[in-house]
Amino acid sequence: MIEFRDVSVTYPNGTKALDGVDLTIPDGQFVVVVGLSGAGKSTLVRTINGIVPATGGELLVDGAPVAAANRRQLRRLRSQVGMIFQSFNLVNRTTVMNNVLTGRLHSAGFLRSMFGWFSGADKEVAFDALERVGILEKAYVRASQLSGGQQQRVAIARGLAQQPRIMLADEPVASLDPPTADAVMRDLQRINRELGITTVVNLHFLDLARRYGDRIIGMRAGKVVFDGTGAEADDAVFESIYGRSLTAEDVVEKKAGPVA
Amino acid sequence: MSARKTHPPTQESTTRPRPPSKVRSTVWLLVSALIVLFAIWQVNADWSRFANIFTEAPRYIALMGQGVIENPFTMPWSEYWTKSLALMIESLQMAWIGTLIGAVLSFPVSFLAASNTAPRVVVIVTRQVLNIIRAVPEIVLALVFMIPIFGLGPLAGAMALGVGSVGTLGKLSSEAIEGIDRGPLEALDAAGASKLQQLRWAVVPQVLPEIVAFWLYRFEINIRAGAILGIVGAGGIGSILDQLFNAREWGRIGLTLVVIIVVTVIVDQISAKVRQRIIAGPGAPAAAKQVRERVAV
Amino acid sequence: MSTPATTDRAPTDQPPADRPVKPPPSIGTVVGLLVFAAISVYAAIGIEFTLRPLWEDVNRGREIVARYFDPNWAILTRPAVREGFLETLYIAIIATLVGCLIALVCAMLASKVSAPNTPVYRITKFVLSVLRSLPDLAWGLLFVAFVVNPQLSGVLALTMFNIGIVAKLTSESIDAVERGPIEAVEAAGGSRFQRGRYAVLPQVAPNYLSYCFYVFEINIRASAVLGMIGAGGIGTVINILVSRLQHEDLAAVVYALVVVVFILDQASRAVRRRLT
Ligand SMILES: Nc1ncnc2c1ncn2[C@@H]1O[C@H](COP(=O)(O)OP(=O)(O)O)[C@@H](O)[C@H]1O
Ligand SMILES: [Mg+2]
Repeated sequence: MIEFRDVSVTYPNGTKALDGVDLTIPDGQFVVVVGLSGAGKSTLVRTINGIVPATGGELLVDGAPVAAANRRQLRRLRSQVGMIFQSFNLVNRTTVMNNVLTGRLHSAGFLRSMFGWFSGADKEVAFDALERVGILEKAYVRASQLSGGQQQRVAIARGLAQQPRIMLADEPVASLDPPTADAVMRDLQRINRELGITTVVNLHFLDLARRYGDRIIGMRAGKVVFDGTGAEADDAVFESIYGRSLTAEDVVEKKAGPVA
Repeated sequence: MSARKTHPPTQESTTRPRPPSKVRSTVWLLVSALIVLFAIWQVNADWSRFANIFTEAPRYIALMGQGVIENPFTMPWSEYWTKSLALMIESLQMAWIGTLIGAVLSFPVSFLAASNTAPRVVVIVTRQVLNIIRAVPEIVLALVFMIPIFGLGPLAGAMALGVGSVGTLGKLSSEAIEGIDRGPLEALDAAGASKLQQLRWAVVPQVLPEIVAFWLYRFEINIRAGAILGIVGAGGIGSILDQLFNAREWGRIGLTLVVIIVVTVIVDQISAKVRQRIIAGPGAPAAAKQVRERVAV
Repeated sequence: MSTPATTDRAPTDQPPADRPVKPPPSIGTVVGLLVFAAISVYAAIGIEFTLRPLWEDVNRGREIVARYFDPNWAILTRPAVREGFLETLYIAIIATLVGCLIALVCAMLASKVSAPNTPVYRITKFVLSVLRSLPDLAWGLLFVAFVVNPQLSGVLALTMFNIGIVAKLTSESIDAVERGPIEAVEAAGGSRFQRGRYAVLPQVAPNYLSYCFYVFEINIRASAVLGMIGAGGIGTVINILVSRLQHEDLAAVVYALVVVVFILDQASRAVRRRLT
């Protein structure tokens, strides 16, 4: 369970990116966060694993306050939270397998992790993760040789290899073409259903948000301005979140005529 | 079709943009010229001696040429060739081991000298230490520190080359580290990896090809340095070179220089080929495919 | 939405047999590593590599090295030392200028973009790689024999040495210039000379200047040691002090040299950074 209690984030340069956010995300939920660029979506997601420290309020992950964690506890927390990025953040020059195995580093011993002697169990976890995203046969291919969609699947597998309780995804499909974006979202949803991993995904395409979100959270200027189910989030709601009328840029499937 | 038609000016009244002021570059040029003139005036070189290049040098070069074209399978020329070649190989060995020592020492240091992997204070201190090492000529390093410790011979030379290499290698490698894509670091941090694990799995795979290419590049430089360290008794072909010039044995000088040139050119070519392959290897960013020389030393 | 069949399996029960096998390292990698190891062992044996002197007979070196921690700064005030440093600086400046000017011409001839024809390009490239293969002190020995005068031989030696480096780096910059401006000048009916002057030079000028400062840094270091073989500069002083075993004096000179090189290095790099 993730609990935001009046959480604020002010960056060192004075930007207030989160402003009194109150949220409770129960285990196993698939949450989609929407909002315009600069609304604070990335910041919200990054406070959950402590990459961005909350500067006000209280944030509890599975009952433990993130702010109070020391370095070691923070690493422990992060090992239980997988994270997926818009730009994949893979090491291109090494194999898919090595990329996925970095998800096992948190529990690997010092020598093992320095020399890359991962245990059979760790390797099996990595293989299983690759299998779940359907690219097992690419295990020993260099990451740079994969397509964008495949690279994002490697990144998902890296997150899965952590055997996390929570999965965070910051605009995971923004660099992908529409069919691939849809497929990657399906993968994320399937993993959420199969393994019960709480999933928080930032999106700015409202059709994807509606299609996949059990729950949609709308953000604007660092505040939560909508919190409801996909069915409740009609065009009027999105227009109020975005503070403007909808355009073709707001959906993945451009051909679909009038939105919604 | 007699005179070419010129276009009438469109708007006569508008002022044309003036070229940017050339004052600055002119001043710089003048200052540089003055410095050079001052140097020429002060250096008290005997410029008239330059004529020797046309009178003396051709004679010596002819003598050197004779040494090269003597039948290398007759005594004593066969022995001369063998001796020079053996010493040149010793120079190469010094260069290789020196580079290896430099690589081993500079690798960890380069992480301390990169602003994205070490704290600011550490970076500043490490950089200055590297700059100081760079400022010491290898031959001085050999003469002053390595020969007293390791005695005369190639070992002292290799040590001097090794320590001398740390300056450049550390600097170039740290710059490669600073140029990495931060994404993987962020991802590993988010996955709960320790600082050292992040370096090992996010930084090293990204920079290793470049860094290995720098090692090879430094090896090419060390070959040249290793060829002269013998002048102060630190092994290699330099030892015999100095003696031959003192004895004015032009024939042997000629063949020794040929050995140096041929061996160096060949090893250079091989090293450059290997470097290009390493940098342009699979998974390299597109920009790295165009291998350009790095300014180093 | 259909769920793939693979998902009902508990992950770690028993690894299924369909796991991809790690491919063996490529032949190139294996051969490369073997060659690397073989050369390293061969070279280490060749120079009788050992680190033992570092801890075993430290005493041999310690006595001398200890004297380096007690430098005799007074020697720096002697006129011979001061003049030696200045001479090193002068030699470096002159050689940099002459070498860089000649190198610019050579660079034009050594790039496919600006060379008049292929034979000239080939020959220049070859000559440059020969020039580059001789170390600075080898040039020094040659010119000391040719012209005898120490300062002049220092200048000439460094000039030759510089041509090789600057011409190579600059010709590579010329190789990398954008073809667009060249075509534009050609299309406008420009001559070969105009092409070089207006399309190539402006593009490589910042790089070329930065290489000039770069060899200036090298020259300071090189001209400091050229004196050891009689080619003028502070090296002459170093040589005398070494032969007289005056280590305290030598220490002061060496430290001063390091400081001078360090300062000039930083100044030159500051200029270089602004150029590119
Ligand atoms: N590291 C940072 N330092 C300063 N300001 C930041 C930083 N990251 C984000 N911001 C600012 O915080 C606000 C919210 O940003 P972000 O969380 O990235 O929004 P979103 O992901 O919805 O586009 C923006 O105004 C942004 O400019
Ligand atoms: Mg964002």
